[in-house]
Amino acid sequence: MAMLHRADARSARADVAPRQAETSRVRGPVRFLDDVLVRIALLVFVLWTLGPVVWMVVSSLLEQTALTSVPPDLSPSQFTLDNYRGVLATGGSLVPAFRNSLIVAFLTTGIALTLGSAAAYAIARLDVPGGDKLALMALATQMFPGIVIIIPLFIVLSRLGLIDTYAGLATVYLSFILPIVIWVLKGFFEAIPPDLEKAAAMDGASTWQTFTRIALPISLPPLFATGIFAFIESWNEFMFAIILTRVHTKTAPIAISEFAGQYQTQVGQMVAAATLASVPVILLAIVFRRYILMGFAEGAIKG
Amino acid sequence: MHRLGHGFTSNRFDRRSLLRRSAAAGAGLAAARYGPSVWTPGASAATNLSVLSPLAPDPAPPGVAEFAMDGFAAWKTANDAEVTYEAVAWPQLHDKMATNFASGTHVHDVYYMSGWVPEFAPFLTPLDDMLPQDLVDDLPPSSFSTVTWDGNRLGVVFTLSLLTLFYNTAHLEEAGLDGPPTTWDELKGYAQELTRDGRYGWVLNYGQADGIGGVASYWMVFLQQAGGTLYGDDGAPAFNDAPGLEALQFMVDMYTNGSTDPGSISYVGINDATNVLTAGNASMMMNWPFMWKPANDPATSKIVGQLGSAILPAGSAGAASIDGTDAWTIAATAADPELAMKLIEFYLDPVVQTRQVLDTGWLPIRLSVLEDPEVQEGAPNAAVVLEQAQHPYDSFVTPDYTEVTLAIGTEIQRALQGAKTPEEALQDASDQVAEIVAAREG
Repeated sequence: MAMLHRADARSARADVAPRQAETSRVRGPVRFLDDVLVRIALLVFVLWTLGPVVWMVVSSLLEQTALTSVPPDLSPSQFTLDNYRGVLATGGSLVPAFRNSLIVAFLTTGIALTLGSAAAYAIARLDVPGGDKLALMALATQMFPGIVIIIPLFIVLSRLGLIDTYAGLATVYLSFILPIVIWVLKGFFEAIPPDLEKAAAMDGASTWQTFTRIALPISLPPLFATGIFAFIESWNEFMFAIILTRVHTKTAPIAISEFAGQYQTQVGQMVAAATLASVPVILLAIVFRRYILMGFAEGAIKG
Repeated sequence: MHRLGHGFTSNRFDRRSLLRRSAAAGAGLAAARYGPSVWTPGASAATNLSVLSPLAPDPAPPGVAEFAMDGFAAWKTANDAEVTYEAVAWPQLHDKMATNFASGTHVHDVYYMSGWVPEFAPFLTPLDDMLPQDLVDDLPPSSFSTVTWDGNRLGVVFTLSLLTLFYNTAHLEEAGLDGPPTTWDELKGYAQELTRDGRYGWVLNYGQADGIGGVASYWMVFLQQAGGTLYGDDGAPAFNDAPGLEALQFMVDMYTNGSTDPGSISYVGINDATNVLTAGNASMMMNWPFMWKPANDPATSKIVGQLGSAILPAGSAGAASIDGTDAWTIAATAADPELAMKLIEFYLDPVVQTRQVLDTGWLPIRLSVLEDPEVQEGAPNAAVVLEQAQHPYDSFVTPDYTEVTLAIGTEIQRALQGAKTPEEALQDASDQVAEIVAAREG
């Protein structure tokens, strides 16, 4: 019986092999064409994505006169580090601005992750009365354009003495970053198998302990991915920063904008400063790329 | 699982939890010790005067720009005053002060203004009774036109910033042209003659519709040169007439005959157009006096030593220009307006004004300083601007100046691009401005 089965299997394989060969002969050129098209599309996408970044770096290395020529003069003699020297020479404003951006971004990210993860877990897992409505209300805050609320915000922060402070800026940033963090993490927490939490409960874990010792540790990738998002959002923010800062808490985007005046714009120095400002974000992405990719991958398959 | 279970149920102070709690307590103490400086870095020593100013190289006061610093220190000592500057990139200034005023809270004592005095008039202190007569006597009378609203002088212009003609002397020489153009016909002819070898005779930033330095304000220059005005005596728009059409037709002709850099319609800031001239890719433009310094700086210019300046060519009614209106004002909420006025007087002190032009390139407003031979030698375009100031230079600023210039500028852009005839564009602009004026007058 067993021998018969093996013979049948061999016979079946013998039948299948020529069909596969025939199919692959037919599909070979099609698959090859598919591969080529996919690679071309990827190449175009990469060029499209990296193009502005490359141009930013190239611009930062060009003399102002070469940069403002039409077309730009890209001859080797025009390349220089003077823009970076100029930017660093004005470090009196740029360096503190970078420090301020780091402080505000870390402050915002830390609070957003702390509050956001707890809120998301509560909405996802606990029987919070009106939890879904609360989540929708948090999302509804995203519908208000920032410009609409900027004067009321200015008045409130002014009366609280929070203009030109890290706390003021971080509070405002949290108002639009926290809802996103809650919604993103809520999806991840909802996808955690309930059996894990049940097992923890059987071991005597409280809700807080389940959250801190079960849910959070296995959610590190999405936490990192969300944290990077929160960091970038607050690092890049411009509109609120220009209104709510004055002297002491000017952030990097404000310092970069200061190279543009009414009658003169130091284009080379501006892009040099922008290049420097992108370094922390790129470094973060490189250092935590494993977690970010895992976070994205999990986000792709989870609810 | 056992480890988890142990951890979950343990409430004892083991060594690890003790360390953890100690660290938390330490962090709390550190936050209490260093917290205020991290959370409120703006909490600094009390200041007497707060000033909102543009950043250098835009027109900035001593302390923001590096000039007259010794005098500034001496002034602060003599007046027992501290001055805190909030220096902002020029493009953000208007929105910043609009938010400050709209909030109803006191933010700054002294504000820089550029054509926005009528818009913010309710928030400013009238200076009529505070201005020293000897200062007023030393200023061009017309310099007060853009800072006066409802009969009140609300500011003092501190730099004579009028549009004049700038041209590349080497290009003119190469083309065999003798001296700068003095009339519209000459300007048109020069521009066509200079359009050669991949460069253009004329360049300007027509991409920005509104504001001083937008295409509407450039048309106002030609409008006055043609003998027109923006508003009649009754305050209604009065530009849809022969001079208005003549001015717009001249701009359209210059643009469509190929002698204007076609990129002009997309150049938004004056910087964009200036860069074309200083790169040697255009031969003439109208620009502000500040251009003189960067155009003669090898780091930013390829035409060092080739820049000429002259008053703007005359139209059928003569020469005219507009005013950049860089002025100092005092907020209505200022706690000590007298001290604020003293600071403005210091900014307008002859010695400070001299250093202003020689060290930063921004011309003084005081006639005595403008006429000073040392100043005229250090700023060769000063005499030209002074001559330009002998002719009309009304910028027609109103509280709704931005809306008005946006309406007019958009229609001019349509005419330049051939989407409308000059007649249609002017009619439509006039209709829109009539509505804006009607809304203003309630």
